[in-house]
Amino acid sequence: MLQFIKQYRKLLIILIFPYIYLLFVLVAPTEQAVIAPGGLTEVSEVITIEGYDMVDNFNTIFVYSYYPITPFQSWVLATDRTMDIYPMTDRQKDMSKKDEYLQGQLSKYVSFKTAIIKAYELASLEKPEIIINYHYEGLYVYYRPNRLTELEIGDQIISINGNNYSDYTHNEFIVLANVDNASFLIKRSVGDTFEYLTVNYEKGIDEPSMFFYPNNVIDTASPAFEFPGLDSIVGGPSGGLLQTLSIYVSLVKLNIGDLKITGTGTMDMNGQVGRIGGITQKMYTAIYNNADIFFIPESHFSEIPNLDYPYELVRIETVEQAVQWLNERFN
Amino acid sequence: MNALIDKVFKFFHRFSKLVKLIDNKTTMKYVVRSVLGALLISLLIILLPALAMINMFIYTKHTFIISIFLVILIMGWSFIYYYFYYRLLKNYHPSIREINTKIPQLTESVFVAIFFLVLGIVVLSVVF
Repeated sequence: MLQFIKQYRKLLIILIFPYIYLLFVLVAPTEQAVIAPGGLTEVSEVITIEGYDMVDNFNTIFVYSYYPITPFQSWVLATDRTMDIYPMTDRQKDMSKKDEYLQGQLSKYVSFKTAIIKAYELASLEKPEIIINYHYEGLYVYYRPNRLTELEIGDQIISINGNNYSDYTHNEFIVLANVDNASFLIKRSVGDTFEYLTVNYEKGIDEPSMFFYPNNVIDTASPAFEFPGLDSIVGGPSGGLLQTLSIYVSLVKLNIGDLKITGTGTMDMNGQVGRIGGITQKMYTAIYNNADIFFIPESHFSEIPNLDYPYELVRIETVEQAVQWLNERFN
Repeated sequence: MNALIDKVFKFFHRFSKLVKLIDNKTTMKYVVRSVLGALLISLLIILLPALAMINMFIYTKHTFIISIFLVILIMGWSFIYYYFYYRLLKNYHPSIREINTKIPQLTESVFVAIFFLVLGIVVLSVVF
């Protein structure tokens, strides 16, 4: 081996520096992140309702989010307008890959539950036999600083500084949670049981704030439903609007032909359609997948890039607007 | 047809004779050193293009074609590995410089490349 190396010593010395440089360019992490176009997920594959055929027209859009990217990726992607490169946020810098995955799964679960509740409520206005009962049960921890090892993503906060969730609305309870010092009573799911623990939180200097999701527990629902999509690795809350519309249309049996409907937007319990990340990449994904209709949150409309999209763009602020649009168009 | 089978048999007969000849003239110590050396050199050679391809997986629309290129690259690795293996073996054992190592080198490379091809097809068909 040494003899072999000696034989090519000059060549090796010449090559070693560019080699190390290229290796660095290909593996070193930058502090940048990228959002890339992804694909569509049929809502009928992730949510099922007993006794009802879920329509296959509605599709949520997922995009890929990578961080940190390498210098090589940063150079290659800089010329690609379908990608969005941006500096990593403080939260991204603080999170592990496991945290990121757990966040995606948690926000998806909350999105599914919100979609079921809103769709059942809207459908029950037309079909009184559709019933849903639920109650508020505090907050889920969506983001916590990595140093708080005793707190896990997905933990349920049921009491803050001795104030129990049952005495507050979600908006009031989240105000209590968004403070710099707090003592949280945590309910954690461990297998089939729950364990309770108290965690004291003190916000660090320049540390990102904690982030929470509401925990609405569905007590009874008729017809019954299931979430087979919880087994998928695709996560995130941005499919809320499309999931709600798909469930609603399936429940009221609205005939919308064979149109491929997609779009994006989170859903809250007031029916407000919220902002999402990667709107440009989602629009490109819809183009690649030949969508016919694209629902977009009103607040994103001014941000859409200059591109030729072949689908009809529907701007909405609330789920009620989207339902009204569907009824006017297809009824 | 018979002529072809005869050719294949003759080829493998020659291959096994050459392998035996090389085995007789080499020692385990230097074979291990050649294997480790060839592994190191071939992995260093393949590392940069493999990393470049892995970086390109960010183009999600092209993941399938990039995966195929990656399989081809891994198949190519077997040729690089055996090239350096016999190169180093000849360095350690000058007595085998006179032996035609091209046949064992290419035959073994092709076997390993076919193995990676089958493995690649199985993995790609599961993933995509």
